[in-house]
Amino acid sequence: MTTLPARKVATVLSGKFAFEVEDSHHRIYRLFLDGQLVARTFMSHGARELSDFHIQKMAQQMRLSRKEFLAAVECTLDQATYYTLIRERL
Amino acid sequence: MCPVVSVSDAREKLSNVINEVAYGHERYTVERRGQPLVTIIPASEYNDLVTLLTENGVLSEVQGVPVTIRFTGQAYFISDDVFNLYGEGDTLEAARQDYRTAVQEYRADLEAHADHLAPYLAEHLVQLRALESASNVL
Repeated sequence: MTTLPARKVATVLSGKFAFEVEDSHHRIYRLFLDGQLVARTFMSHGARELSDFHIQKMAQQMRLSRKEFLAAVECTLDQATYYTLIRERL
Repeated sequence: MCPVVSVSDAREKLSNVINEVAYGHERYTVERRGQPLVTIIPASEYNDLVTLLTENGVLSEVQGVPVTIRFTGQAYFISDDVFNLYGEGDTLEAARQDYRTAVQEYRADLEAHADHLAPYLAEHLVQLRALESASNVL
């Protein structure tokens, strides 16, 4: 079972991929491209580790496969590649 | 239905209860003042159930959305394949509530950006509005 540190994923979302962050009941991440909201994902406050369940759902919310999501977190999928992928999948 | 024993009876007969559960395929519910507190089942059965609920889950519905409920042995996880939302919690009700909150936040967020949504998100908003009309609970 794959797990990822929540803090590492949060850093990738708000840093590398430039998602906007807002705190509500959950911590919400939004990505705007070309003036459109194109992806929205979230995490629970206080989450330390993301399980396979979280990884699967967050990947889908970001229009990525599980493998691509893991590559995004492990830095092998850069911002330009992600933006290209998501534009193709809108 | 499992045989029901009181806490005091269970304490007195614990060795027998354990043997009957482990080797006799029996299951016991232990109650206090008429309220069931715990159910004792074989460890292998518990592990099988957790494996089944982790890997396959159970199909259900929350607020009109078809969901899958999974249990890992430590937490409940509810998710859907329509909006790709999820909720989690230490109890089933806590996970349901977390999922309801996720749906409500999602709906509010999409409404707030209704003029600037990617097509698939605009479609989600249409579906959420339809669910609200159908159930009037969102």
